[in-house]
Amino acid sequence: MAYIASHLKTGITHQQRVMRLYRNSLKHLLSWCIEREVWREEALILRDRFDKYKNETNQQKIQKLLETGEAEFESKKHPYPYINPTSPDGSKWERNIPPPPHVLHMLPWEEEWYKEMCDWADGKN
Amino acid sequence: MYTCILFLLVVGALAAGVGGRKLGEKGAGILTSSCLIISLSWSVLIFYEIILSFSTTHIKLWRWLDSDLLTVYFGLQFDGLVAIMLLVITTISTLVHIFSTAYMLGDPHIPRFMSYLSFFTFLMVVLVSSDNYLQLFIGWEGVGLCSYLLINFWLTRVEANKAAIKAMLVNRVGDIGLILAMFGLLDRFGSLEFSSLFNVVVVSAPSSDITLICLLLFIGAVGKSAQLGLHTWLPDAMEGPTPVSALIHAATMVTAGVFLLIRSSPFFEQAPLALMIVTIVGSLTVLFAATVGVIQNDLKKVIAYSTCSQLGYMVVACGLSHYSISLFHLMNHAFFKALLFLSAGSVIHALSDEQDIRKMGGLIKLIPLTYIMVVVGSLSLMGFPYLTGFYSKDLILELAFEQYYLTFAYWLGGFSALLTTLYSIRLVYLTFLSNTNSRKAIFRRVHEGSWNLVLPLIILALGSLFVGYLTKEVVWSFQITFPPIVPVFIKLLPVFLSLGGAALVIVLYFYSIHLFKVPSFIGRMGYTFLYSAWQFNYVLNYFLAKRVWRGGHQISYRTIDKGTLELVGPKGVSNFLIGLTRGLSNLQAGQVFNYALVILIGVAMFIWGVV
Repeated sequence: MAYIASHLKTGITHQQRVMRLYRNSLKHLLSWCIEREVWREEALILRDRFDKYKNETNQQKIQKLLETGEAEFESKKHPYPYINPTSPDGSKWERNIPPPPHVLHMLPWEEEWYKEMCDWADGKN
Repeated sequence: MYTCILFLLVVGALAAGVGGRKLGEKGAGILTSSCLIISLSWSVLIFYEIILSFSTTHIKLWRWLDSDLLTVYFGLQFDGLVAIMLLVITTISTLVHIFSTAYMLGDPHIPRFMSYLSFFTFLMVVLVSSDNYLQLFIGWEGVGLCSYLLINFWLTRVEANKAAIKAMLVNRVGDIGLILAMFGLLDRFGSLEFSSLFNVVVVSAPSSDITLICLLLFIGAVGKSAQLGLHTWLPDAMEGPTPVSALIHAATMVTAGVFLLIRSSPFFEQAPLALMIVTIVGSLTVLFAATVGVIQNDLKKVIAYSTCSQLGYMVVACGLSHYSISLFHLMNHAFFKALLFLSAGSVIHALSDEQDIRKMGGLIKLIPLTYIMVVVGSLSLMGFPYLTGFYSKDLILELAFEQYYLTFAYWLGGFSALLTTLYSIRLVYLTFLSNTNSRKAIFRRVHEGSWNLVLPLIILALGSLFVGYLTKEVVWSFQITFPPIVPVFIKLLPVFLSLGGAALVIVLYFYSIHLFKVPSFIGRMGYTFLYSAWQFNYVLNYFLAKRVWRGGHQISYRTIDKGTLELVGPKGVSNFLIGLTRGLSNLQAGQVFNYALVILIGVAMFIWGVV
């Protein structure tokens, strides 16, 4: 689960960037902590760290904080995070995908052609 | 009866494969399972005839290859080794077939699945019952092919495609070893039949030729039995459905390599160097796989690495020349490992295909029977006294201690016993005992499976409890050496180490759970190193496979195929002929003096010829 590619950082707002960092940090934290209670404690500490600077207005400092946070996330993220079975790369992902509709259903001209062929085979034409 | 086992298995496979659409999901399941039940009953009779009545059977069916250099018959050889292997294969396969009828319910391709399972079993029986290396190789390749088909059963999954191709390619490396070994045997002895070869080799002196042949055979076994270096396909093969993992990775395919070592034991006895290498690779595999299994989070991968580790024990026993003990552990391992895999399947089935143990927990109250099964399988795997695994695993360790120059196999194996306990109890704790981390909607639907999901587990649990005790005398009777005499401390050390592992798990998971949060930098490095299986995939891909691929592309493809061969071959010939015909066609330009010149030359030659 890649966090966010550098070329995409420019396409999102600052708020989205902070939100993604926070959400991904929580998710990876859950992959590290086995017990929910331990995760809860760590999540509260994480929340405090984000809340501590929520009223910061200095743009340069905000930028630096965010970059530091992203670098910390990159270094501390779980190498093999939990993936939901039905999500991409999950254990059930792409299992028995239904065939595309054009395989199951004939187009109008195919139906016409099929009917003609059946008639020909039955000797009606 | 002997040939009918093969016939029945292939009939079941073909009927389910070709007529699956007519038979339907239920019909295919019933047909293939019935064929397997009949094969199992015949295997029991064969076991009785061969092991208990001491009647070895050898059937020559037909002459298959006949040339000046080589004559090969298609024959079946049923001796003690084959009888035990047959019993193990058909028992596990029958139970896996029955289990699959419930586990795969709802899948749109059940007849294909049942057909693959039966065909796989058929080819495994071909492998073990063959009387020569060439026929063995058919079964060897056949199980490789079927493993590809079964791992890739959900063929719409890219991960399954990749895992299946990886299994196929890694196994090919081992297969090349086996092929070269067969060439070596043919060159050295002029035959590929077991009876001829073994009679000759026991009276021949040890030589470098035999050592080389043994090492090549061992490369084949390393590939098939997922030993260190060529093990990378085994954990990835967990992409297949869980019954496939139980069949392929517990009882049949991975044991083919160990079977090859046991079958070729007369050669290995003439090659002490090869035996030493076998022991070293086996003991390193035991330790490596156990360390990796300790921190895996995928339920099936924990069991897969455990399989890898236990196969290491079997290979160590072969390296120590105790082939019957290796066979004994193979048989015991088949029961408790199939039980663990099928129990894992039951858990995954109950949790709507969730495989990550981080999202499990608290299942003891909802699926208590499966919990008991996992505990029985794990205790047997750990070598808990008087359970099936105990009789063979501890014996292998004791035998390893006896070997003065390879005692390290004992210490590695002993330490791995601690790790085995560690990952087994961790698995039980995180899956059943800890507070649940499942989603509420999934957790509320958890329940035990139907009778065909539970019955195989109960039978395998009985096997995991009693098979070791009941058959120890039978297998020990094959042993020509005396039981080892080792100090009591050494005898008890594996048990103490296992207890130490259990204590460590209890301390870590029951009392120090708060330690499991984001680790330090060194902790993260260690975790990543172990989780990624010592970075073997990276090393093999970037330092070996990539260079071999690049070399293959530059040398084999561009320089030879598209370069030299094209210039000398089709393209060169075509260019030459095009140039020639173009030159000849230029002669026919429609100019009178050209024709006059040709006529003049013709007349001159005619006159010169007459004169």
